Amino acid sequence: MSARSLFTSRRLRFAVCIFSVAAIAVVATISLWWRPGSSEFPPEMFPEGLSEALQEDIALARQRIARAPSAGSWGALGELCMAHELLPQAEWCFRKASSLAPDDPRWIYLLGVMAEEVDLVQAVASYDQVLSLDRSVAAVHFRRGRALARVGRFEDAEQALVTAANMSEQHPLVLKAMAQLRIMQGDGDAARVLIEQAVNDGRAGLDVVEEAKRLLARQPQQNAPPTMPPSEADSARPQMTQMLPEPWLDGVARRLPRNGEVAAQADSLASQQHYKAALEMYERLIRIEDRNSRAHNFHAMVLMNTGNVQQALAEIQKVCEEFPQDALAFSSRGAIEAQMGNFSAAIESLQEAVRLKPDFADAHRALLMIYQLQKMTDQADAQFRILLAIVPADRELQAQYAAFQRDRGRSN
Amino acid sequence: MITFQSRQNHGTTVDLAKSRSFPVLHLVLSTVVVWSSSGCIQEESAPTLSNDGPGKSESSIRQRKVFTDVAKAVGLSFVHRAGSSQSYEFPRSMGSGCAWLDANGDHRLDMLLVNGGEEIDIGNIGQMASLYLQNPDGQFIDFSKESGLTGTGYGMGVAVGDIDNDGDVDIYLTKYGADQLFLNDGEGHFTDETQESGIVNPQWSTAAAFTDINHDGWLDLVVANYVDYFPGTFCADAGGRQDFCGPQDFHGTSNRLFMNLGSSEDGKVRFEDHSATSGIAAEPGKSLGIVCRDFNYDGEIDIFFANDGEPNQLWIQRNGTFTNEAVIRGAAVNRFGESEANMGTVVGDFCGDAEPDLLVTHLSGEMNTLWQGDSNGNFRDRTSEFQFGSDGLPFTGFGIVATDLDCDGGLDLIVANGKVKRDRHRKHATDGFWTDYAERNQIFLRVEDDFQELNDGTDGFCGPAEVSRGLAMGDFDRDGDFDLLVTNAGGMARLYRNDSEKTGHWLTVALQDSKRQRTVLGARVTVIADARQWSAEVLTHTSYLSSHEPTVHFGLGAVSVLTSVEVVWPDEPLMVEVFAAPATDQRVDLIRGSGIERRAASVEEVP
Repeated sequence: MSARSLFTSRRLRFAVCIFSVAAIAVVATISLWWRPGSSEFPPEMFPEGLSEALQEDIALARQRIARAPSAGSWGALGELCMAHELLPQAEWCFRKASSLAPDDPRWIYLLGVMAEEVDLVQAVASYDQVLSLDRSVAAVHFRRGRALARVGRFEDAEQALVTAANMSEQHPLVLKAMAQLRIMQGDGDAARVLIEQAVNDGRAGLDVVEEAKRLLARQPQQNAPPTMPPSEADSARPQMTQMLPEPWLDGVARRLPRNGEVAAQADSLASQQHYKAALEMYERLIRIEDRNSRAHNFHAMVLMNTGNVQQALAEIQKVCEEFPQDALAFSSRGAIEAQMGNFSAAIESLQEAVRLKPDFADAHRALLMIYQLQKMTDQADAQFRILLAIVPADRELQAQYAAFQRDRGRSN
Repeated sequence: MITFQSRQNHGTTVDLAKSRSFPVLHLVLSTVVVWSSSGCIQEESAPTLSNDGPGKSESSIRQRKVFTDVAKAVGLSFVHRAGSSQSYEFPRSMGSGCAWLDANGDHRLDMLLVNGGEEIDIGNIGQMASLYLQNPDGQFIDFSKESGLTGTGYGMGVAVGDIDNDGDVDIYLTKYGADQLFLNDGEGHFTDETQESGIVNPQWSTAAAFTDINHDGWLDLVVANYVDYFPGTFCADAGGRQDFCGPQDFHGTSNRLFMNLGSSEDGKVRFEDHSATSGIAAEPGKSLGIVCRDFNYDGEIDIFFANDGEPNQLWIQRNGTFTNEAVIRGAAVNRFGESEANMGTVVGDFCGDAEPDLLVTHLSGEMNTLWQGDSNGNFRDRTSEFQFGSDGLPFTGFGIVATDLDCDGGLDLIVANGKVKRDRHRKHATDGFWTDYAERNQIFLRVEDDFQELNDGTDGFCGPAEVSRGLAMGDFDRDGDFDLLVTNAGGMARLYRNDSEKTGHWLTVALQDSKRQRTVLGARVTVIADARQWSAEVLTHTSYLSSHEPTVHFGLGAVSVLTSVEVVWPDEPLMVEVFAAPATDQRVDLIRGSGIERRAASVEEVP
């Protein structure tokens, strides 16, 4: 059989067809599973120096995309980026997610939240788009209203805020924003009513109370003074008012804690004398940032407060050696040495602390106390003068100095 | 068997499997399908993250020539020392200021640029400021070594004023470290007289102002103190990378008022600390900006402190005692009741109602806030009603000045920008430590009732992206408009000559007090024409950490004929001295006592 006849035979042609179809199917299957360039990022997408934990989370999120690219997996990476303030990366991921799921308002909402910092017009446009898909979330109306107010579209802002208020059971943040609009419109009485309502709401934190007081202070008191809750009740309030429920921000909220937050938690626990929990929190902070001398400092101080004075001293000594410019470390060492009754060592440590930071009021106070205990009156006098130069309005210190001078005069 | 239909035979079914062209067609088809399946036809390119940052694109902003960078051309070669590039010590991010002054009494403007330091170390000894003297040919020579401006610490800001009334200007330098007071010998040689003066301010100070608080003819000193900073404090961004700390990480400190007791017989100046007795030290703050003027028009100087991340303070003076009335006067927080990161300050009539308003620069994510002032010293936040609010949102503003660039009668705004933390909205840079913090400056031209952003080109003020901080105005080339001196953290200082086209008439007024042999800071000048009048005060200490030339410039628009000029001198707030009308389009020197009339001031005229 000739080559020509071979190719033209019907059986052969049939076999070629089948083979081609099979080959196409195999290739298509492979390419659907692996699509080069669509889940890979350019190397410069993420900056260097991110924490190891974050790098691991990013890698996991990318693997999820590679396995099953979807709006959800792209959005999850975007949320991770947004939570850790990698905002250009987050924006890219959300746009990708939105293109895959154009009817899902989540990603557009998150784009709007990010835009609030830099482009309020864009933020409003994003929220408008969200509302075209889903009008049921009060937070969208609130954010939109707040953004509109900031760009001077006051009537539109009011409409949005009224909607938000109705949907959120008159949330204090919304009422405060509405009060501000009333003030701008010259209706101080209406503003006052709204502010009082906001402040008396159990959801209001100290931030709303403070801001409300400032807004009210500017208003003429035409009628009775505002019925603000007594200041003693303020101590039961949270520091910040919780925002309206934002279910689409849940993913962003799940992020690695920032060192400042961990430090604040640790400090709070220590001040409440929950020392065991405070120690654990400081240790956690040290694991996050080994270079954080402050965490080491306070860890040692808590050890001292729990009676582990020797251990505290050993730890703070290491900090002084590792961070020789850290005034706080030397001050802490001085405090521990004073606690142990070793006043000469304490003086030396505290003097090093104030040499490193001459306006270190607490270290000067500690020195003053030791000098007074040790009846070193000249040195005590010098410390009083230095402290009064640092904190001239400290009336208690002024009174103490006056008494010190009287006693000194009598003894002379 | 698979049958393919071809339309080439116009609907006739053809068994393509039998066709001679089938193998070729089949090959082509397969290739196309495989190729498209492999993704070679890209549905979407890989992400390209913007390195430009947010804000309007340059192409969308109105282009117009305003300023030209002439630093090199005139001999300015100052590079701000900001310590080790690996260090994230907080003072590094705050930059340093600059000043225009006539250091050697030759009636030509000289430049002073405050330096940071090699390390953030209170004991660090070095050249605290560089002094450039202007020659008759307009060139500047570096007089730093001869100036005597050395000391310890990390330099921040500068205040300029004749504190001993000997006819030359003296200098106060604020620092992270102990502040310094330098007296001038009249020829640009300065001597450190801090210890002799009695001024002790050990805390981290930022802005400072010389002003005659008690109208006794001697300049007193107001100093803004910032935070109780602990060097070595580790702060990180949300990604875990080390970054500069912010004011929220530390406690605030008290501001200071030092009263000038006048020169003693030995010629030494003495100051007394009235911070506690005056009341201004009663409330700590985190102050970066200062304005000293009579805010409530009762004839007494009051003090405004711009606080970073906290409510501002407006200390109203009543017979030497101060009370903070910022909240009730509406200047503490923005219209939403929120504290902002308040930094640079400027005073001027921005709302067009002939009343001075207050504008303060802020962080990105916050608008630069404009508080409209009224005749009772109350303020109302009107930022939302002006475009510059939104246009400034992505930027972190520091130095700010207001001047009528085109002399059309309306004040224009100029803002020096630069971030304090890595720009979260921009792809992170790999070329240089400060690139992540750099951003372009902004000019806002007054157009009818609003402000329109302007771009003056790549060699102009808005051209380079830098970490700008200090901004001082001075007409160094005496051509009737203010030029700009700009400091950049860790970078070259810039001198921007004003080359904008004047569309109207103008007048520059310098004041002299022959009795005290010094210019008069805080005086109010009113230029009067038939149908209009313009007012301005000699406030050299506004903006950020900087000091301006002590003159006032008026853009007069179409007005070419004036009727008079009136001056309210700061130590006689209840008197007005009237001067004969000068011709427009010139600089005039008005000497106290040479006016044609003196009369009692009305309430509106009291500065």
